[in-house]
Amino acid sequence: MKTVFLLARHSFKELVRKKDFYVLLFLLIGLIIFFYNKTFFGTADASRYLKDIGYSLVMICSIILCVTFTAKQIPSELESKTIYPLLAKPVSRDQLVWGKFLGGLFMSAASFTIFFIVYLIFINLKGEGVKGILMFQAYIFSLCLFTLLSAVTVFFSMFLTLSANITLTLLLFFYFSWYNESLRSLLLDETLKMRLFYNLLFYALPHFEFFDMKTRLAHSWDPIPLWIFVSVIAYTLIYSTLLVISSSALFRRKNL
Amino acid sequence: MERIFCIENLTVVYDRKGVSGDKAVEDISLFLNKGEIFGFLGPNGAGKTTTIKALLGIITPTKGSVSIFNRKVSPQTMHVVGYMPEVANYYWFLTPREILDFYGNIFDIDKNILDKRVDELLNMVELDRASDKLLKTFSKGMLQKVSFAQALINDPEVLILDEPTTGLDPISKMNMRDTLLKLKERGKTIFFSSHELSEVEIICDRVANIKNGKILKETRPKNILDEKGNQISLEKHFFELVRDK
Repeated sequence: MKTVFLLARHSFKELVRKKDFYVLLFLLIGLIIFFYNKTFFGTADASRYLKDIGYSLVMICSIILCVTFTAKQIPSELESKTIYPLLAKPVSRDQLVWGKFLGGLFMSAASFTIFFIVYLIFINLKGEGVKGILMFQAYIFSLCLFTLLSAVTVFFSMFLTLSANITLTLLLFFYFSWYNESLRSLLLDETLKMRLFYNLLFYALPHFEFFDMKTRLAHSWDPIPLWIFVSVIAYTLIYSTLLVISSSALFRRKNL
Repeated sequence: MERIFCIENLTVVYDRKGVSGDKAVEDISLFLNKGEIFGFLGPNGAGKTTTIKALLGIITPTKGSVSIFNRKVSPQTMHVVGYMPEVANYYWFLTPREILDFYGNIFDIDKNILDKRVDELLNMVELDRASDKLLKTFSKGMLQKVSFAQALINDPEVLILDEPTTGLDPISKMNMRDTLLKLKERGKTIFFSSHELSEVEIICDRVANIKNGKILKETRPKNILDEKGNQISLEKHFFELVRDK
């Protein structure tokens, strides 16, 4: 386990030394300040718009960092051949895959936390702010999202090129976030057999929309019931673990 | 004499998309005794790096077996191995001190011992003054020195070096040669592949020539010179051998 965390910490150091994070942080602050000073639809104190747009910006910046950073982890080790001295040490391929997954997750969680703090400062400065419990749920669900996204990205990096991996993961994410409902309605015209098949496929794919708290935050709705909250966390852990185990199995058979 | 590692009838075939490809190495058998320096010679694409990768457990043999200290190669056996790869690419966002620290922690070396060893190694490869600079600012030769230092971080019993002197200036080459001889005096076992035949001639106890994945000859450099009545260098012998086959 120590080796896995060492590898994860090593990936985290990469984030600190790279410019990507700082660029996105300044971009985010700039955009939030811009929206902070804007009056939406003539309403000077429409804090919910800032909550909505601000949260979307935080999520987009974090998702881009998470996917692009995690997707590079294993391919860059292979391309630069740094994987050879690493595997010539007491490091198994399974530990390497878990380390890279956790590295991607820690990095995403850390950058999201900083982005989220910036967001909270601004929405509290303008208007009503957000209920503590809702804020907590949004934070935990975002961490769940990054866990799942990191696992999906590591899994795809076993057989896709870097650009294909980033494209497919982001496509899957946006498709499920935006068109989830319409996807189900398409099944109604299908035959029973096909409906069964598409339903299986639908449930087998990762459901990123489970973690979306944007509307709930913007309108200050009630917090999510505890059983749903716990179920979503369990879904994330089970789905992500299965994906990383599958990635390890694929990586063990890979010709290096 | 204690046997450090043993390669028996090693064959490696690289599969390409499920289709069996050419044999990278075929039916190779080698062994290494404690305290020996073994030179592995061959032209480009002969199978040297593939053999080393099999020895390190990075690739699985198609046939045959590889063992270190009579144990099947696994991540656990790597505790006693130091490896310097052919291409010295390391994490550009780290400094030499950080990279040695990172690898040292993988071996679970006590912090005080590790700090001391990192200083000694940086001093040995003459990078003590550049120890806190990022690797992205390093030349090829400097990276090669980092690579050599990281191979020694766990004070290994067996050292596997793939083209270790590539990119080094003559003085650094001489220093590395001296270090290898000192390590041999301390009972360490060294296996290295090289194109630098003069290097091999000076420091190796035994050499093996490989071409097209097969061992052509395994001998002692001294025997070659004796056979030819000191009229031939190892370099000339190597050319004759490779050309004839």
